[in-house]
Amino acid sequence: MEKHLHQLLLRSLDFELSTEEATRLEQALKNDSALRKEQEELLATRQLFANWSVAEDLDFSAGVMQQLEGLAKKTTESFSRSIIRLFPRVAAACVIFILAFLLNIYFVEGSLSPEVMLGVDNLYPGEAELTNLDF
Amino acid sequence: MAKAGDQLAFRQLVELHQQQVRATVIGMLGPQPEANDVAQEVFIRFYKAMKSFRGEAKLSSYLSRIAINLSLNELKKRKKQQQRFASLTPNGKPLVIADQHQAAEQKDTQDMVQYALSILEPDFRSVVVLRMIDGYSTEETAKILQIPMGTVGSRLSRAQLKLKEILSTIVK
Repeated sequence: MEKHLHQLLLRSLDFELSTEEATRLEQALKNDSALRKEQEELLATRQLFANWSVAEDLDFSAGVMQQLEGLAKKTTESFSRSIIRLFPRVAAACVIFILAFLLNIYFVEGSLSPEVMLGVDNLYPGEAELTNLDF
Repeated sequence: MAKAGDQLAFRQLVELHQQQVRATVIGMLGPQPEANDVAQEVFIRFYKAMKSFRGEAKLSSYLSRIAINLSLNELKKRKKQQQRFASLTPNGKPLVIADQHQAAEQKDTQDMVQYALSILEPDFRSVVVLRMIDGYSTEETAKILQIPMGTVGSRLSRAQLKLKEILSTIVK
């Protein structure tokens, strides 16, 4: 059995041969009994693999779905856990922000009275009316 | 429908593809208990990545790609564990663990095929599983493994000769 014919035979199992190659292989198979035997054995091997199968597992899809449910539960749990974990930090940040805001008002305006906080300490009703009349 | 998050539709999808995915994973890893976990993980990964699945590739090819990648990861993990085991033995030689090699004694064809597969290197095994068990074309196999078609061809040729030798008692 010639090596290049053997290569051609192997290639014929997975690739489309050109017309010239196919004719050459066909001719060789007619004349070479060893090559013919090799082809039979290769095809038989292929058949063994094509027939190979795994036993059915009836619980498989239920197992997948169960895992998915667990995953969804875990995601929800980890979301609430991360919120709980983040809450003290967010609260602390808010307190710091409010304190900084109040300090800023106190240093700029010198007081923390409700009028100062609302920004209406220098506003008189009469002036407000005049301003409206200008429009 | 499964893409929209319908649990029932996803379950049907799992039922439709489970045999093929299990065959791919068991072909790669052998009939070990973790093979089923890996096969289930294939569908979990797909579920998580479903939104990004654009449907350009066939769903079965997409699942096969995940199955092969996860199986190769599992094989790497096994190899590392074996190496760690080997380093723990007093003389540094790897422990002989009863595995698929013993299956050679079993006459059952299914076991023989499984044994023959276990002898192949993972790169060769993945080509054989996709092409000869799952029945993908050479082109599809190349796409799934993201390797050139020529590489698929050469790996198949070499693997096939080895397989024929191992299975000679059945084939002849």
